[in-house]
Amino acid sequence: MITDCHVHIGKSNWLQVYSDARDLIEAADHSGIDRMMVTDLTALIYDIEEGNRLIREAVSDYRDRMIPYYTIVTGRHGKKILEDFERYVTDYGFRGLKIYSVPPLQLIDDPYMLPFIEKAAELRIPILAHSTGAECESLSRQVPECILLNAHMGCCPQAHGDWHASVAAAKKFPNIYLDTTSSSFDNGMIEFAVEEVGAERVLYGSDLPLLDPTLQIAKVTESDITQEQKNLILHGNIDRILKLRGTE
Amino acid sequence: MILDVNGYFGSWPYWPMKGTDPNAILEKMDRYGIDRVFLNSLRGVFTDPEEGNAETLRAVESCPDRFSPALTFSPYHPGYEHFISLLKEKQGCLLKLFPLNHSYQIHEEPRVEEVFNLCGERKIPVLIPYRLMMSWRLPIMNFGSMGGVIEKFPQTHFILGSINYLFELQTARSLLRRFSNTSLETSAMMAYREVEKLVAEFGAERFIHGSCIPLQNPAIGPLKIKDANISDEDKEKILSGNLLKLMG
Repeated sequence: MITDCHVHIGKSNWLQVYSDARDLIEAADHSGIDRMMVTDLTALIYDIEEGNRLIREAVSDYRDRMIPYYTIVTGRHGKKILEDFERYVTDYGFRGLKIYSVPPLQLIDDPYMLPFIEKAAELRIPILAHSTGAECESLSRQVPECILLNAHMGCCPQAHGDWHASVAAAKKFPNIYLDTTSSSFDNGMIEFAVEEVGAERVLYGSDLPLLDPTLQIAKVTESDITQEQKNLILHGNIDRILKLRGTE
Repeated sequence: MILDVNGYFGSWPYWPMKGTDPNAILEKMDRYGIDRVFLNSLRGVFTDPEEGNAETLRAVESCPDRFSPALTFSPYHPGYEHFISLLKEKQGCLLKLFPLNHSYQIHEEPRVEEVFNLCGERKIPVLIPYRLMMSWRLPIMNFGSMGGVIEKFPQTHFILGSINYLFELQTARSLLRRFSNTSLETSAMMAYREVEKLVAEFGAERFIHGSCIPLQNPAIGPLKIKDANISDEDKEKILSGNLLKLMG
């Protein structure tokens, strides 16, 4: 059983990816992924309302395989988007919030983002935060009850690849989880995260369709941890988090 | 058969890393079916290429049926003449360069040019990693001037290593298109279906398997070739055939 906590749908010239639901299902079938948590690229890089509407339609035929995040590029579009976010969770079955930090253009811990973090905490849904470990720490200090999945666990250019900093942040704050997807396959990275914060706080993600999900699964299965720990990372933890809202 | 053109051993200065001695590397090679690795000592990268080469040769002598030497040099090291003698004498080696770590430019450097000429005469491939390993923390080479270098030494074969995706891959593609004496090493290619796309564009003959053992999880290197939707014949070329052919 595999649940992927980090998948993208839609189009991005910047990332050179153009994927619809069928492409993702085909890739998931090839790699043995049962369920995917999916965020929309249009919402992430162009138009929040349009992108979230698109993903709502795109996953409608695949609700047993695809769980949508509500995606925002910034909190600065205000109340209307905040209301939309809540409605998409309560009425349309969205089960996460995706936020993206691109300093200095947009930061995830600016004051405008806080209402979204607080709302996600109130709705008891996870927040997939493409960010540094330090930004996750900052949000955790302000909204301790939020559930933060630190995308790439620091292995992205914005976080300078510093997975040690992300692991340290997760060690400090029990609400921070580490998402394993990235281009980095450092020897001992998964083992270190498990040793420091426990397998219960590490989640498998693929970043499909940018990265190869089969390799991302192997990052977990070929690490020197127990099978029980691998199972928690591959699906157990995210399945448990998704049940927090009480609608799973 | 699986050959690995990109291996290291020795101390890793930036964070603790287990399993970096040759015996531990052998264990991992057995686990993932890697028959032979071209190794170079990290001492040669960080402190002294001559001492590093000596360590590399000792490691290879301890297990000549599994290890081959990747020698390195710096044009500013006092042992340059000795290195030239070594390069003239050694069979079955490759040259691996670290201009960022040794603080030199790869173009218009007379000693580098002398070495490239010698490599061309002796059919010694030259591996130039874009980065030491696929980590966003580490500095990257500027491959912008590589075209002029490759063009100047048509008898020498250049293997461009540790290239990931998007912009950096675009540069590498341009070099592959322009110069037949160029191959790409695969250790940092993590994008979805990248191997398939590249093989379709350039042919499998232009790619050489590397895992970046032990800095990266060595499970991933062979897996990305074996799992790619390309023919068995193409897989064999990438995993071993192309390097065997280059080494004569």
